[in-house]
Amino acid sequence: MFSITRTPMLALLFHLLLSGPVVAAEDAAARGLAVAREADARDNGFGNSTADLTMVLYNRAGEEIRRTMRQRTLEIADDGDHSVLVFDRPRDLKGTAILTHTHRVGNDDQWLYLPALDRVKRISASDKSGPFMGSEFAYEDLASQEVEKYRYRYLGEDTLTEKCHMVERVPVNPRSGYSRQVAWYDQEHYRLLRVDYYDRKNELLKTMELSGYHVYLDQYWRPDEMFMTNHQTGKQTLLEFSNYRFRAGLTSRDFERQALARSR
Amino acid sequence: MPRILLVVIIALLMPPWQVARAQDETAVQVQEVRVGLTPGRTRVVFDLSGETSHELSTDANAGEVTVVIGAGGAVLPVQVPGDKILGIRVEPGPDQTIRYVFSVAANLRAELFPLGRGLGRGERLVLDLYETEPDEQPPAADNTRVAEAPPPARPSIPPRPQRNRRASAPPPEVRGEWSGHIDLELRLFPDSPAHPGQERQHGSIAIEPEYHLRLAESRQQFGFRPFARYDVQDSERSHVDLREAYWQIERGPWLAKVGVDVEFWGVAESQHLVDIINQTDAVENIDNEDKLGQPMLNIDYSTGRLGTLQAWILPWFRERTFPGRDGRLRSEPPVDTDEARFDSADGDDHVDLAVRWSHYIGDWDIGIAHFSGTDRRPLLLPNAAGDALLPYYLQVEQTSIDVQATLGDWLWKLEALYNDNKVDSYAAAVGGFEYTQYGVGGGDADIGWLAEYHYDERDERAPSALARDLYLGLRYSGNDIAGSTLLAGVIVDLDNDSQFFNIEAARRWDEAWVVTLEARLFSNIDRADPLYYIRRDDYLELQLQRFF
Repeated sequence: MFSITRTPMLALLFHLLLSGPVVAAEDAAARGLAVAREADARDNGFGNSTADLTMVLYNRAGEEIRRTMRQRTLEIADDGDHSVLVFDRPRDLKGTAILTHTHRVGNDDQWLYLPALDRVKRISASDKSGPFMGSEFAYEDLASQEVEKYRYRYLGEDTLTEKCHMVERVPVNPRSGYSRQVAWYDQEHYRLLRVDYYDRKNELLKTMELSGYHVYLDQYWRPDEMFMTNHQTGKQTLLEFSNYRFRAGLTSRDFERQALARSR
Repeated sequence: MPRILLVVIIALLMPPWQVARAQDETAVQVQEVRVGLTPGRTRVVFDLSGETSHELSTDANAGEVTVVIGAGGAVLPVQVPGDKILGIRVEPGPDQTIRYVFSVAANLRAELFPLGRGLGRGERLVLDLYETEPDEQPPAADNTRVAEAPPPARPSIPPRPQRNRRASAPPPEVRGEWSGHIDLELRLFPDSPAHPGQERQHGSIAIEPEYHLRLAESRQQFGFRPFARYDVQDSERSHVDLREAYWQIERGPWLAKVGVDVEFWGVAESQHLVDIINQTDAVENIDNEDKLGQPMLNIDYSTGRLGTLQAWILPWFRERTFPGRDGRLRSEPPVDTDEARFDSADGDDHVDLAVRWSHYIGDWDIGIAHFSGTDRRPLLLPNAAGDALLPYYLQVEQTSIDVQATLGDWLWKLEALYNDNKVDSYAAAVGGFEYTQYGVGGGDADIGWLAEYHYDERDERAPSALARDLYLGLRYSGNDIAGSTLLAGVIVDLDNDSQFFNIEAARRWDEAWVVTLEARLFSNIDRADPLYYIRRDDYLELQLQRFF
């Protein structure tokens, strides 16, 4: 039906007429926020979930190093999610666990459990720009992506493997490692398919590709893979998710500081 | 842009018998073909079972791009997004090759290159089709468009068909696991010994296996963690202990635990002042961080609003370990642990009690506790013959508080206690901060600056070496794959200027190993300082740990 789009000039004209003038500067912010809100809204109500994680780190020589973890997440109605991450590999970190209470506004709360000393330590979560376990993922990349953590600007439509909304996200936290991010949400399900990260000098730093999406409970999409490429160092990290379970019977009690020591 | 579904001409010209023959004769197979889009580029990835020959030819007039691969199999992509590939044809080529012929839109530039091994995939061969007309840009392009960004090192994977994946089976109801580590340790003492019987090198080996069993549905756990060390020089340091052997059950806000376990209280780094449930395994290290397993009955009640209330009944007091006559880092005369004395008539059968309330409110973590029973730190009294010190364990009532405020990059810490006993009741405290600088010098590493002040009301009378002392430290965290860490610090006695330097560095090595280097130096130790006994016991320790 839209056979005109086969002709590049007409296609361009078509888009200029249709979308060009609409995306004025102030509208772009509202539209970008609308996309982020829609993506967030579609994930509402999952309750709680568990998943197994395998992190594969590739150095420039292509050698692999593996880390395995287990994750538990609890949805909090009026605030950011709570999560516990327990390490299984490397072996010297086995049983080490991180509890995070994400907040929509302000710093998150974070505790670390060290099994060797049987000690729970409150740790600072003010700066999450550092690498997670020597990987290409920063702590902030893995944190719960609350709508309030960014300012948005709609950039346009684009086609990756599917038709996408392209949205620029500028971190609200001045301690973020990024000046901005460009995120691709697919138009049908509002799943995040790709994020380009720009460093503080506004140079392209990393790209994260999310793939292998499956739907759970008829509504909640989760990727099997998050693949991060650092363009500046050439290093890559693959994060694989498996054994997703939803409504796994977790309660807020499982996400309190006291529960951390017995979380393994 | 409305999606134009393109025509894929599925022309499997190879009859099935021919495919089968090709698979027999050629080692390399085309396993999967994937098509992905990035702005300005259509990428075709051939996943191959091994390295092989490849060739690209372009026929601009016919609008065809042909890739000849020295492989068998005839796989077509599941989905062909974008509007640049109009059709794909697969046909057998000469000499056991396979020809992929792509009908493509005009004005495309083709590039073919091998990409090497992918993630969980074999060799990859990549065909990139670049658009050469600038006005083909997608809409809403501005100078922040990603089209200017270098292409990702891996093409997007086509979406898998939507299916409502059944949630995974729940984890096994019973989950039991063995783990643990074996440690090889070498200590070198550069100075000649201060006391008779001591040597300049200590070698030892330790093992700490651990079994942990979790019954998920009924919320029960069982832990078992024995420990054993053999020390070549010091027979007192050769010892075995049961660090954990407990059964635990949770029911709503309640938790009950019976058995042997380790329980840590406190927030400070340079001294663990309020930590009292477990006895210190002092032959292990002078940092007081190694603890003997404590038999206990423990009940917890915790709610998110009220915090956690805990109570312990602690039968069977554990005596502190001390180095023997042959060991370094000992007093002179050495402590005779066979002749311990007790304030209580019940001796080590005295049943100790402890309660603790802990909570976190915003940036504050707080714990208030009371302990009633046998003090873990003995007084050391000379025996009649003067050839040994005897540990004397007092009955104490100790009330303590520990607080941490986590304010941005600053952690503010305070531990304080009052210890009521019949000999010399006292108050003591340790407080200070840790300030962390993240990503130092634009790199990945974090550096923390620590300062803690130690106070003990007894001052020079205190059996502890930390009475009016200042600790200054530096913590390095590499945030690297090896998990490199370093902690360096000095404790200065503000009364007599005695100094104790301490460096601990550790890194992972080849995944299952951890190497730790520890150096401790005693400098300018005053004759009145409790450290005077070990003034000549500077040492360098190399520890190699194998985890399993």
